[in-house]
Amino acid sequence: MTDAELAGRAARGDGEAFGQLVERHALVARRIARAALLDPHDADDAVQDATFSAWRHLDQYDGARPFAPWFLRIVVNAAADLRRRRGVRRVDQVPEAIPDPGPSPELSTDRALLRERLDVALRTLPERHRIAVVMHDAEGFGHAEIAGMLGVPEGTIRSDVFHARRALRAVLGTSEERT
Amino acid sequence: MIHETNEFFSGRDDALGAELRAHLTSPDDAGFAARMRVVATAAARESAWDVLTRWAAPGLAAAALLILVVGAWLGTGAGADPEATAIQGTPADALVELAGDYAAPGGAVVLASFAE
Repeated sequence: MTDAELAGRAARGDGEAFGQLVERHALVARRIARAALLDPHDADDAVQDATFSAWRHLDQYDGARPFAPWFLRIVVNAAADLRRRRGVRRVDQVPEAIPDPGPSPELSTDRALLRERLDVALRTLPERHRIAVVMHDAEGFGHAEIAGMLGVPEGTIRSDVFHARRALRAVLGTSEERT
Repeated sequence: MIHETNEFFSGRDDALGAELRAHLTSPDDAGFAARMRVVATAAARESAWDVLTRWAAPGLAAAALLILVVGAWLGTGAGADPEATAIQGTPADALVELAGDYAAPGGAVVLASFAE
């Protein structure tokens, strides 16, 4: 069943259809929320808040358009609301000590080090840059779609992705010249 | 190879994207997706219940008002009133007639009873 069909059934009050729809997009939503908040627990709370909000506003969803961008926009807004509510935390700052869960058995030392450097690099980026580069490079959304989700001009998103890539590649030690 | 300055117009960086996905992925992702399905379904059910509750409220208020009216009528000894016992027809007819005859309490009295 397509997203549009599930959304149509959900709009008619089918809770199971809404559950399927959310399950289908939960992991993308979780990654975007993590990119925004840099805290796994807060990110999960934001996705949950977004789910409630999406249900309440389902009548505003245009079934002719893809569901994911509509839902992710709500997720981004929920993350922003959560940050405002919990205001004391500043995730845009580089922490003095990066929490180190310890390398998993399956990760080599190099791999663990790479992930730690990526974590530090993400924390140095402004929130919108993080969201933009994750949406674009990790999730495959186009610049225009991201611009719509974040409510900024497409050129701004292009610039955000460009600067985020440059910063991330610098810490990952990869070339700045790549296709 | 595309120079950095042309990157504004380029597509995805798949290698960087894969690193980011791996970094933002958790071992419990499958469990999270299943939990969110439950949360979403519960949210929908809760909302449906809220709607029912909203619709039920006027019905409950009307029933309470009817009980008040009938209670007041019985309390005033109207049951012994020969005029009242003379009501003919179905119980529904009787209720309509009673409701027409009875001097309903003022709005303030009804609201006060609800507040209690």
